[in-house]
Amino acid sequence: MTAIESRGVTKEFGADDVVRGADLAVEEGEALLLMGPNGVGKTVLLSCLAGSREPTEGAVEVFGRPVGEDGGDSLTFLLQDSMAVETLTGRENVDFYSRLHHRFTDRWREYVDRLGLAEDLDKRVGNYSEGMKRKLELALTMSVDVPVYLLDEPTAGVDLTNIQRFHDIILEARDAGKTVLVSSHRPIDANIADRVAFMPDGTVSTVSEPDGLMEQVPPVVRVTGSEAMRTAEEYVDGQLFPVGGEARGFLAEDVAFEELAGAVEGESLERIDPTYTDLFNYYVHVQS
Amino acid sequence: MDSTLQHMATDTQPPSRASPGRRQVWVGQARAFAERYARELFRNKVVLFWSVAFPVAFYLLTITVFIDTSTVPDTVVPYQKAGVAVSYGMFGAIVASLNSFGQQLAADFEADRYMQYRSLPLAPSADLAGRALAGLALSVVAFVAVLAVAVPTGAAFSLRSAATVPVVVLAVVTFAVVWMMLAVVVATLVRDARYASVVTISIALGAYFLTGYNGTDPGAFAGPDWLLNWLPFTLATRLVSQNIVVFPDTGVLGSGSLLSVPSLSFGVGLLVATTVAAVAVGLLVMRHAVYAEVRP
Repeated sequence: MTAIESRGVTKEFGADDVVRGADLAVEEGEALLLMGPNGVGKTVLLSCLAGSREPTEGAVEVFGRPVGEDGGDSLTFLLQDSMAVETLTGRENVDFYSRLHHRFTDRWREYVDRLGLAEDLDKRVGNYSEGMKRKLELALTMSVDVPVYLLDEPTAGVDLTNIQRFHDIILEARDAGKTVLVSSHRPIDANIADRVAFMPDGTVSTVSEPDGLMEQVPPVVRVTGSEAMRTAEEYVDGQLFPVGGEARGFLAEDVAFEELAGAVEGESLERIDPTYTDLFNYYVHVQS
Repeated sequence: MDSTLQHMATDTQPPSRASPGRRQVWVGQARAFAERYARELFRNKVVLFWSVAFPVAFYLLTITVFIDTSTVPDTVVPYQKAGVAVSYGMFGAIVASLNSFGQQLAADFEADRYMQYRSLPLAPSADLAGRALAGLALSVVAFVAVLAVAVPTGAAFSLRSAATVPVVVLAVVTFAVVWMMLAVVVATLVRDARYASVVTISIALGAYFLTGYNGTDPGAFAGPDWLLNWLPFTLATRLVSQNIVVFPDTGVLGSGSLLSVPSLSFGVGLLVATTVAAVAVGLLVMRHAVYAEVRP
């Protein structure tokens, strides 16, 4: 059964349309990752799905009912940077949100403990780091016992160690039968996804399982050295993506690896297995 | 499966409409908003300065510099100071209920907090009630602070009748609520904390000075005296002044009050009616402009 769905959702702000006819269906009990670069409308689409914004066109349904009729009973929404009140302490934020939603539970105690935030609960949120704010936001959101969780870039500003803890909490919810839609521009978040949806430019372009998506990615090459990079650019699909002192790219359809290897001198070229970063670059920047 | 998710017993049934559970949820939400906003208002040094310290300071400045009490008979001075204190106390309440309250709402717009709230099963009326309770608390503190400072400076307050306390409470509450509802409209229109501050402080100062210090000095009001008994904020201030600044016959001014206010029943009725109308407007704005995006 589809838990939450947008059909042809468009959201305009004056003359600008940030989201353009976005179709996205999240099935009950799955964790779906919505990936895209900054500024393509992921947050706006999520806010339409959450009932926070009214689409200019299109419809949003939660378990088959218009989201407005649901009235927030079936879902909870983590809106990055707007949730935690900076002038209150972490504990006062918990106190505040615990009374706002009738399905709020005591789970926050375990979450703040697991996320290492328990000792900072009596500090003002205005003094928190970005990572600490994300921890509090996640604890507040996941403590609400609803079937659907919408998480807007929950791991932004979170260090790698804590990202794993975030992922564990999200996956536990998924394993308990909850539906989770996470937006992100961090490829590492693909680790939690049953399916990944890409939003390169205001529309949802591709939705599939990570393995299937990975199989569709053309051969990935790693190039080092400025001379080799200049040469390789003529053989790759789209562009090379610099990473530190090297660059990665996708072989163009009509180019064999050996052909590129012949054109690039020495050991400055290597064929490698695609990573989630390559997946992101391909579906967001190349295929779109 | 995670032990947390598995074992936490929760109420997973949404409360039905009009059930005791639904009422409980509403009260809980209103309390949550009231506590949050009260914490924010009373912790904000700028808010406390403009709402409480500034009117107190202006009262002290007025009785020591702006008013030449040497030209007033000694027997009248305590009542003159009391009248000035009421005027500045109510001005503090305007700043608290219009400026501080409006700025707080506009700041929530700026922080996209209503994007978050609209996704929650919230009652807009609970939000408004909670906000208003916090704003009312600050308004009362602002009003009482000036009176409390005025007493040791020689201001004389007394109770006109047994009805004085409820009348003064009603006047201060309705006064603050009407200003807060105006603040809801202004903040919803501008949605920018600094802009809201400029607009509301301009309204507060304009209303205070153009109406002869909230109607306590009819001589400084360019319009007809009767109008001061029809504007809700001047009527409220005049009722407060008439009820707690009661001077005996000193042979100079006569006795009672210099302010001509309407009958108690008319005054109270008018205040209640305008407050009900203002709350209705505030609720409409909260429902249809603040929480409006998708709610049916």
